[in-house]
Amino acid sequence: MSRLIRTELYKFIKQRKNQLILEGLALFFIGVIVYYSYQEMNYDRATQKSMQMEYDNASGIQQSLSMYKASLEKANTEQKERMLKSHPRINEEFDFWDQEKITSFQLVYYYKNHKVKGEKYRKEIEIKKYENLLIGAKSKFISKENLKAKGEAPAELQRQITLDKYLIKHNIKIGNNPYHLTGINFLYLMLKGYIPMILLGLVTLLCIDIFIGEMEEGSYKLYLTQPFARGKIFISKIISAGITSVGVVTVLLFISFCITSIMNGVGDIHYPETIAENKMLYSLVTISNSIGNVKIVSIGTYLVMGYSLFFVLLIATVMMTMFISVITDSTSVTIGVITGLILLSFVFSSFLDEKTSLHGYYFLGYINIYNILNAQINAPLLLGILLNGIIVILLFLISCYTYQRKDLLGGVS
Amino acid sequence: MSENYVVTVENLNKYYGKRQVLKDVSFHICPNEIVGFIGPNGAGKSTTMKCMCNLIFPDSGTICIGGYDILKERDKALSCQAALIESPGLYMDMTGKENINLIAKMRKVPKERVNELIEFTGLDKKINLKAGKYSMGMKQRLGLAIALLSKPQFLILDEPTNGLDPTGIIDLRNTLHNLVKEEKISILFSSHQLGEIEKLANRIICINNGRIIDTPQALDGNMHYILQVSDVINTKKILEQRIANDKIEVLGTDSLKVMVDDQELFSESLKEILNQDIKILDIYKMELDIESIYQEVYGDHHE
Repeated sequence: MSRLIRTELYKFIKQRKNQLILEGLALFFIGVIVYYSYQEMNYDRATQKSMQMEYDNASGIQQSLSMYKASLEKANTEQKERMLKSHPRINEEFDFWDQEKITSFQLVYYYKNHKVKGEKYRKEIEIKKYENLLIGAKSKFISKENLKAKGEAPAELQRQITLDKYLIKHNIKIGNNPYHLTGINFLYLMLKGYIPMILLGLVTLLCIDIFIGEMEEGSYKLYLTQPFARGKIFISKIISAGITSVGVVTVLLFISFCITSIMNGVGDIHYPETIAENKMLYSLVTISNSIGNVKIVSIGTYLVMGYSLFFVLLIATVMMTMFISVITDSTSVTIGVITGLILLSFVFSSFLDEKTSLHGYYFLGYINIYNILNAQINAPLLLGILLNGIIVILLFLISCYTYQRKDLLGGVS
Repeated sequence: MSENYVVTVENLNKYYGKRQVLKDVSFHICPNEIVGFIGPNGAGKSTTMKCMCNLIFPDSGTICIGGYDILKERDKALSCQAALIESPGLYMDMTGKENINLIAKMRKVPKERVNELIEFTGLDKKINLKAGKYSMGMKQRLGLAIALLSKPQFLILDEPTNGLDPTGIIDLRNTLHNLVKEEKISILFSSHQLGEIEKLANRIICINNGRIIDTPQALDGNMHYILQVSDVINTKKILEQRIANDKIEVLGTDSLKVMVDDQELFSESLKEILNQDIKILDIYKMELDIESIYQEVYGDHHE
């Protein structure tokens, strides 16, 4: 068996396509480092600009509300009734936008004056601003979609408030730039947004040839007529697919971790981070009303949880790729289906209501790791690991059975 | 008897969906025999060969290679044979040497044997070029070298002359003849180049519409002689003492056709004929005209 695995790995390394994808993956990691370094450099200016925009927006709305209020005072009873229908709580709404204007202005001032008032001051202002936004969202003075588009969905605001309060309460030295690329922070940022999704896609491309490549190239006629049981050949291919996918990502993460650590230090592994409450983590039943309830853990714990889920997902995606390629013998069909499945997780995270339990039952939906860990979508971490684990085992058994009994007629490119 | 055969294929049946592509295919191959496998496109040649390599599973029937049933003892059966199906199946991103070494390491082939076969390919320095840059002839030679790494008893070649230029075809023919002589290998090969089959094969198996069809006597691997004698009746009696009755055919008042599978017995019979004062007016070996035989066979069987 070890000879077969070595042979598979040798074939993998020798393939020009794989060499190109490996180079692409390395460039992707370098690109991420460069991107975050750029974000770090521009963070203060960009945040100041965005706060200025929020201030202008709030001022504009407040101004129109004050005009509305003035005309309300002059209006007769009938007109008043009609006008109050569109703004039934006009005074509260006015106060909300007033508070939004003040906090935004304070943050503009903070960034404009080179943060002289310190990080703690910023956090206090941010807490006020976020709490106000939560009130606004609840009272429908500002739409949730609007907040979501700015990356300030109610669950995320709740998470940020909890974290900021913890930092102030425990007098912890606050990091002044979320994009500051220490080794630890790099690992954290790699779990955010669409990066895990892109990584999955690239790794899938890397493994896709393990079965189909030789079917389409015709080399299966040489390899599979050697005196080894098909079952052994299958297992050696699966193991080498696992080694290459997990191995490549681990090595690249480690190298990037080393580079960023050399650049900006390792970072503090005990720095607080948020995850969902136990209920969401360990319950097999997704509980929608738990969304937004978070607790504080160290960033080390957060990374262990996040990468556990990521690697299980990675193996599940690779296994799914193997399964489709064994069934179809076609690169184009396999790429099509896998791309579709990955994109579906994007559709789920972008367009589906965060409370729907569909999030919990779609195995690739768990690729939104940050949202899962912080309960911002209705899908518990443990269910994700279990679901993907079951998928790996099931697909392995079906693929192994199929591969041992199928007629090898060559691939369809 | 079957234990003397290198390959025994019995009652092989295969369906692709509802279409039956192999119908009770049975044949055997003896040691040191080169057997041509002929038939029109879609007759079932490649499917039979793929079944023999365990790339395809037959729906029923047995295939024994070197005495091992390929369905029950795949590893042992496949270790007795090597195959080149349709194309050499090389890894195009690897050099010729890497292709050989890949299988050599997998099969634990000694280094001496590897070097011997690298020399056999005749690729010299080109062995370090990527296989994708090789001509078809070079690929075939490399494929053949890889197939021979583990000293198989039996070699399957599916259309090995495809894409080869005349020099390549002559090279391949000589190589295969040498292999049978030096490495004592049996070969089953298919080709559309009837001239090549004529020059290479000891025996021919014909297949059409998935069924093995009666091999014309001229292609059964035996020598056929026409004897012109002064006394046909007595000559036949003498021949019948050593050669089976059904292998002797009286063609006219002065000639007989004899199918000879044992040259020594035939020589003894000839001596006896001369001893009996029967004049042998003429004797000649029948030449195979495989093309006309092919036309005769497949002219009847084409659907």
